[in-house]
Amino acid sequence: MKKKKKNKGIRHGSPVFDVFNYIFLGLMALICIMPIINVLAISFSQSGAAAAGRVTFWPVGFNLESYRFAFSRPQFITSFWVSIVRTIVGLAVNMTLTILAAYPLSRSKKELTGRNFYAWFFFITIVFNSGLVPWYLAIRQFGLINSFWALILPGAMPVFNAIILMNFFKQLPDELSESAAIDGAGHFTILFKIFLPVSLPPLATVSLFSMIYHWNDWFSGLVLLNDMSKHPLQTYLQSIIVVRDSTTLSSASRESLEMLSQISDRTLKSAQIFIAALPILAVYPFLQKYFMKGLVMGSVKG
Amino acid sequence: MQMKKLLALVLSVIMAFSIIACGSSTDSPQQGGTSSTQSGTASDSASSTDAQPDAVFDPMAKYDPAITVTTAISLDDEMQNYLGIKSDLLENNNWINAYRNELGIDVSIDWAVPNTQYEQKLNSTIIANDLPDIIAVNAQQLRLLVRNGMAADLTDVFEQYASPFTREMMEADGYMGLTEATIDGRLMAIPLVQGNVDDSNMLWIRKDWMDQLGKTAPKTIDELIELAEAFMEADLDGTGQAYGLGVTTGSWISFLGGGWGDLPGFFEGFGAYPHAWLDIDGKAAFGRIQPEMRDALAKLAGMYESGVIHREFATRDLTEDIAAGRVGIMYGQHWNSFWPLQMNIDNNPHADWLPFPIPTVDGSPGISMLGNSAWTFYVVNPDFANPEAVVKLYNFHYAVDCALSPDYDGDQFHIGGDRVQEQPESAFNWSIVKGFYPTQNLFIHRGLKAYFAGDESVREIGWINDAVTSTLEYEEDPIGNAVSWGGYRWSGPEGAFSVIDYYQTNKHTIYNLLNYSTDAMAEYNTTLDDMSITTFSRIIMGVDPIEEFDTFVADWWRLGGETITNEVNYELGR
Repeated sequence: MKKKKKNKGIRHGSPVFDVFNYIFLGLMALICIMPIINVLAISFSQSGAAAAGRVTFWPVGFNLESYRFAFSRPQFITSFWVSIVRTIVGLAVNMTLTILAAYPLSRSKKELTGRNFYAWFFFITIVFNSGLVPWYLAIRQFGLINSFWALILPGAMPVFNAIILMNFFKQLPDELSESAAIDGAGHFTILFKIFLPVSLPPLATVSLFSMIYHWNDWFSGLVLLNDMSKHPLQTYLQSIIVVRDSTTLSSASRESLEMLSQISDRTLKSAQIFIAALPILAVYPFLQKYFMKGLVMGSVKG
Repeated sequence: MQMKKLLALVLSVIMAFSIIACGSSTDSPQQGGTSSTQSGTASDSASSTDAQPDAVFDPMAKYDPAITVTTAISLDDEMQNYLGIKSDLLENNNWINAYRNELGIDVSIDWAVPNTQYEQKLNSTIIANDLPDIIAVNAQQLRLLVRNGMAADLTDVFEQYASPFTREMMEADGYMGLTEATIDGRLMAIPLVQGNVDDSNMLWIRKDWMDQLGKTAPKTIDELIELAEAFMEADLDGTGQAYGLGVTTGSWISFLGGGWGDLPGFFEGFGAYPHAWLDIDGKAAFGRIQPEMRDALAKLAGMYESGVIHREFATRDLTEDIAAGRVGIMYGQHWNSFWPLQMNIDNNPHADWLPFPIPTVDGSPGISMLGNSAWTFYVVNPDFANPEAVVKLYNFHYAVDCALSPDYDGDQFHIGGDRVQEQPESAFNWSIVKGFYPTQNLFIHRGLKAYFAGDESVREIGWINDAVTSTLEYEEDPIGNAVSWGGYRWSGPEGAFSVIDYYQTNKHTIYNLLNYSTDAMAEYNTTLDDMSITTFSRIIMGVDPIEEFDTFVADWWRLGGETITNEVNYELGR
């Protein structure tokens, strides 16, 4: 109740606008959430009903069979584990390098000789892209093919994230670092004791970016890793969801054909998609509060 | 300010260039390779023939000391499933062990990916020139590798090392697979022979609906339309959205051919063959631009108009319509009983579909087109010192996997049915160089028919025994065994292979004059195929009148069709 009164003081515009705004935003949110609910409902449904398209937003013939089946597939579990390790390790490597690159770049030219050179050095990788083949060949030359590190090292330094963080560091008042320096703090103390604690909003943003990248990327898993047991979850999912080439099925054996009806099961696919989306869905609300704080901070300081 | 504008301009130009650079970088290595490695082919083929014939020549002699062969594996759905049962199967299965113990060949697997991702992975390996010793490729990739000198000439080693039984199988195939693997008179790969009798198109119809309406299978296109209209009107599953003929279209599949829910079977009823090179007045001519196609398209436009073909067929999920009982007629191939038709039975165990030979305009027997015998080819890396090993592996596969072979060992190498779940190391899938009895499925069906005609002795052959057992099991309780419906309607007495048997027995088949892509096809076909599908869709949907077909034919000739036709006639020596 108190909050409402406070808000009244700074309200501009008409309540009619608010109503339409809420309805509009609500509808947009609904459009985003509906496919997810549909996938969830299909995953809990009977496979026949799902195939016949009778499931919309509520399961038909509720059962957990497809989840039981998904978790009984060793490849699913293995890949899930690879993805988790990859996301944690990838996040740690990404954040370390991002922070260590962003801090010096945020200092003035006087403090870092050749700052502009370094800035362009990083920036040029955003503008130019070598293309797929040189990328593959370079990674092969480093001997990373079929190694877990092929998922981490080629993307270890996300330049875009570093630029976001650098810009945030830059707009922190100079007095902060100056006063710390007067008290005898070195660069590491300034970075870790002063800068990072006040930079939670951009840190949350860039770590979410890098987490999502590591969780969702399927292509590097396919191209760079040779053993299926090393494939991350999204690479595995891509293999089951991609549309099959049916033109060569005319000469398939009976065993393959029998397997075909089992694999193309919609409920099973939906269950696996949903399980795979879950970790990111779970992380998001926790980081959300930092986004809010960031926005509020910005508005107060104006 | 000026500086900033200039900088922005420069940056956007750079960006545009980098995009262009990315686009072209994927294919430039191939182009570069064409000229520089051309000379490699001749010298490589010479080095591959230096295996000395011994006094007593044994094509299956064991290597001593053992040699190592690297390869890559495409994991089909079964293999992925088996790997779930035993995770070390890739390195430890009956095939790999037998290669080592009986042939002295140590197989080492460079990489293994699910079959849906194999092509992509393989292409990146080809571009990086990182091929294993033996690799399975498709017809297009085979030509690419041969042109770049990345495939060894196997003509002589095959001639020398092929076992008598392997030769027998090649003969049973009519040497189709070998021909498909031959380029410029040289055998450049070992074909994964599968035979092509299974390719025929057929018409699948809801039998329970026909029975309820007292209808029989259509012999002519007009009877087919009549039946479709009757199904549409009756809507026997009470869906409220019933329509006549299931047609699908999508990225892999289109109504021009995808093996299910397509229209080649319909076109064939008019004597039109949209994918084939036909002999017309002694010259090779492309089937898609012949006047018969025009008649078929005009008929389809009428069917669309009257709602027999769904108004939104281009965006609909046909599997859903089948499963829900909205549609009861579909063109397709033999395997459709397993998928997607099985979904209908899963949803409604009282549903039943039967396959029939294609109906024709005038009621004469439909003539169906047969495709290739081999879709997969085993290429040997020219740097590999023992190219004959691929032939030994091929011989070994035929010897132990084919039930007609004297050395057949199904328990070890081709275990079937439910037992494979307990013994996945005995699955045939682990063989790294495969080849099949070209008419295996038909052979099984004929054996089954012989059994029901009273010949008990056919059960001595494992393949036939399995089929007989599952058929008898299903027939005991069709409703309770609804999950096995697909298998029953596949090899069973009235199943899909009865239709293929009919085509084969009566020779109601026609062959494509050409079974590979020429250079001009590789260059123009993407455009021409897109144009065909767009134009035909517009004609069927009534956006354009049928006269548009004549414009299409003219465009086809102009946009590369003429070059392709000339090239095909040249290659066929016509």
